Amino acid sequence: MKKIFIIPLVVTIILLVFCSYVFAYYYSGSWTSASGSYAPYKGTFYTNSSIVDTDGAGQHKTEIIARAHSMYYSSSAITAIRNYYNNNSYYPGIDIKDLEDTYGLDATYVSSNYPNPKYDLENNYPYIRGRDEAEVVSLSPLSINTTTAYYFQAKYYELAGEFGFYPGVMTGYMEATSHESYNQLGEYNTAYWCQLKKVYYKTY
Amino acid sequence: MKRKNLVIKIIAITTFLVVSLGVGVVFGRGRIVDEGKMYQVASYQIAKNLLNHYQGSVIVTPRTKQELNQYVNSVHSDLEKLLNKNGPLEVQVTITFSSLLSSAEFWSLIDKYQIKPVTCYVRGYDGNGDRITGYGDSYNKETLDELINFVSEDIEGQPGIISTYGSVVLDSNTFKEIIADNRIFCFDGITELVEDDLKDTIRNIQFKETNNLFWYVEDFIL
Repeated sequence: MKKIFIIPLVVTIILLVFCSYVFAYYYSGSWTSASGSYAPYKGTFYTNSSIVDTDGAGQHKTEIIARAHSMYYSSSAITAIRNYYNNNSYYPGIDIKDLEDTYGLDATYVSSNYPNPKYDLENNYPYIRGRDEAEVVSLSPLSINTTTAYYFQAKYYELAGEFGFYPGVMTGYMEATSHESYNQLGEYNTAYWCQLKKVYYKTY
Repeated sequence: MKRKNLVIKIIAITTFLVVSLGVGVVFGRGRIVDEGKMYQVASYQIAKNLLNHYQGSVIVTPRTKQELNQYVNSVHSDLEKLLNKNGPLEVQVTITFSSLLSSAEFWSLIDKYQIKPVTCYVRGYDGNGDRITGYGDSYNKETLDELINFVSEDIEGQPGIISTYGSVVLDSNTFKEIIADNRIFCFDGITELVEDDLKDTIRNIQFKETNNLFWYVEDFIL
């Protein structure tokens, strides 16, 4: 009688352990309203970690994809975006940021379906290695519409430490924000911003 | 792990604050010392921080096909004049291509003119025909392949490379060859022109990457 319970239990535990190791750490959250008049009123933000390499000490190099997707703009948001562009030369955009920024996660690639995107990968705190922030600004805001499901994603890599080894398991938060920005020195300085979602991440 | 990180963070922040107060400068930002337009559609800004470093940027936003073509012609002819005047130069450049290049086409062009790429923009199209744009480190084959893989999941078919930012040593003969190369739509060395324009008052400006023009090529030309 006992075996009937124990065997499935052991199998389940092995599977769970195996799954969490082989498959990615995945954390996700959605929003259905945003405080900024210019922001996508709904969408989903997730982080998805996986192992890309293992060093001599058995530590893993992690890559994290942070992706804000299924983002929709209401017609009043479109009006706000057009007014900011026509009256103030403000450009709309999305930001993804590693809020911990002590781990040397380095934003290396970005992509989106925003019209005429200008991207920036920025290290806001030069005393900590790695570009903590990924930004997209649309240089053609008049092309943003209510029917497209917009997305913006960034891929971070864990940087090796001084002696070539990767840090162990680390956890933190990634934040996605929506903003209206003006161009100054090729960087888009935020005039208004609001948080869309903050989600957990974990490295190997 | 968590506590150790907190300690590192506190030490780092304290060091940063002390350094910032001591030097009196916030990294990366400065006082705008010059700001203006070069041609109709290119605005530039120059700032100086308290370490006396100049930083600059140029943004190009043509609204019509005519503005786009005028801009490209002006940059090319003025850059040619600059090279004739000053001789060979190492130029920081954003190169916009005439159409989507494959990885092989991109590297053969890079090799031909001995360009050192830093980043690339790549383009693909999703199921609705909407334009997908990727960007990131592309300083060798491995990093560019990674970028292409990253973008591929969201598109149908293969993405192509639409622009690159990097540096190249130019003499006027190579430059003539480059602007006659029909794979290249715009060899945008405008930051060199701005620097030359301001050389009597401001020198050694560190410029950020100028935006590429491919969206306008698609809207007005292709």
